Amino acid sequence: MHEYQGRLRLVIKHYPYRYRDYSALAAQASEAARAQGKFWEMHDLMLSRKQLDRSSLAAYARELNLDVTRFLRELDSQMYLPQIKADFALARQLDFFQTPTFVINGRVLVGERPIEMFRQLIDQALAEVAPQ
Amino acid sequence: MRRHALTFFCWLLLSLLLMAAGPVQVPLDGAPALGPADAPVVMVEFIDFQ
Repeated sequence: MHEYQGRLRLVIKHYPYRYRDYSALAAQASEAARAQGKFWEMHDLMLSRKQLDRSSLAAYARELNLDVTRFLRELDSQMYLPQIKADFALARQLDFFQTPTFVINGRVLVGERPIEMFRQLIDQALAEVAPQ
Repeated sequence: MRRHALTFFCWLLLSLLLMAAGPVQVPLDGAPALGPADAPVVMVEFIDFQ
């Protein structure tokens, strides 16, 4: 992101795997953290710590100085679930079946790939949109 | 070994098919994002945290 500062926007869509225990819960936790301005912090914590049960998520919320009562209330009421389901439906509609899947200015890249491949696709996209 | 080769081949085939299908439009309304809204390149990540 730093390398392409001002020229690249990263957008997250949720695609929780249906048969994993905590995928949907973690997606909702990221949105509950986002509601308190800490989406990326929660995103980073969940990916690095990997424990995604409710009590671990509550501990992350505490660590990030979120209002934990509000965080858990929103998590337990599943208030962000419709939004997660809409993203899920979109991924299905696009025939994506794996995470992570990336779309870079319309070009699809499936799976975890070497950073060079991202650079190449981003550079290519930048060249395509550059004024002639 | 053969299983890995087969998996890779299927994955490659799918990637090629997706690329051949042309640019994919993803509606972005309200999704979490980093970087300027008018950035010339937009990278959308479909993520599963688990």
